[in-house]
Amino acid sequence: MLSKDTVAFLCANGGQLLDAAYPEVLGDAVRVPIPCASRLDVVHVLRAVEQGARRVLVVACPAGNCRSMVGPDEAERRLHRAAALLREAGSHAQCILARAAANAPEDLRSTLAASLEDAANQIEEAPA
Amino acid sequence: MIVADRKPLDEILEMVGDANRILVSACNTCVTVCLAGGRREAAVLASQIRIHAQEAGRTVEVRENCLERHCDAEFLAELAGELEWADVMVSTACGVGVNLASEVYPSARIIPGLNTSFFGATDAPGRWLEMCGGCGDCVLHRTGGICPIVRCAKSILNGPCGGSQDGKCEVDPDTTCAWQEIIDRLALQGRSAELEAVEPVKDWGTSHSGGRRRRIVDEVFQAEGEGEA
Repeated sequence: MLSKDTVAFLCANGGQLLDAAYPEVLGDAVRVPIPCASRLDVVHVLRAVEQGARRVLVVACPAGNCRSMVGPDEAERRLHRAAALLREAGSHAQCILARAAANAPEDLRSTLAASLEDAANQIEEAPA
Repeated sequence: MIVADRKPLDEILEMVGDANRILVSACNTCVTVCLAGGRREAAVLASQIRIHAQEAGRTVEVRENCLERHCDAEFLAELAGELEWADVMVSTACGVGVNLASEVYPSARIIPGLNTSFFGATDAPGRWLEMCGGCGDCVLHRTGGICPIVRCAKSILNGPCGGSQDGKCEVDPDTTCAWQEIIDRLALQGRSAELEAVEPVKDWGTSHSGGRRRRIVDEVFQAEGEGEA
């Protein structure tokens, strides 16, 4: 279950529709609607962390499923850049890109489960 | 345009030190185009500084602004109020902007957020290439518009050198030999015979080697005191 320290950027053509049909998947995450995942800016991610997010999730369409063709790829590049900038600033906030169609909540659930497990492992591995 | 790279955050933070009120000032011209120091990049830097402070349990106030350009004093006038407030200003303008702002506001602590790199052009989205060395004695008419000063690793004026192999530079096999490009360009223009002419030894006194350069347009320039009633 996601809590309010997760900010989820949701594509209008995928993530927002998925969330409307299966709101339990994102739980209490703070939803930010965007017209397409390609509209995500590095600054959006940094601002979210600045305002207290410990996890930033972008729900984009699966490959080949994007109305704007390259939305998820653009989002992935920017999210990687944002993650690098966050690390440079000393933040451990997690950046997650989920590719899930509006009718495929299981894809989102499995991405989230894997990411949360990764984060838990990283916390365990971190030196005291 | 002037092409620059942002400095690593650690370096910027070291310069900022324990300042609590930080102004990040962007420039809306060259460094905006090369995605190094425009409004958006200043927002990223300001956000990183805030996040770093939060992680360190410190409280800092960071403001951002963007001037049309930092290389003309009249635009820098906008900084006056902000510099009254700020302990330090991180400029994401090029080195020209940092110099001029420091001259206009000599008591303000103004630090560079960028490493100013070269005069270049956009080669592809997200990639810029050096095109001109600003040597003050242009030879592009002789080289088909290809600058041997910056595009040849040895700045050779009568090339190519012996290190050019299969059209590639010996310094980097992925880099095309500038003189190969010059030869190809002149051939394309039917000017290959011009390659026989020898370019004389260059007077580097017109370049930076001759000290600080200045340019004066007589009909516009007024020396201090001139033109006063």
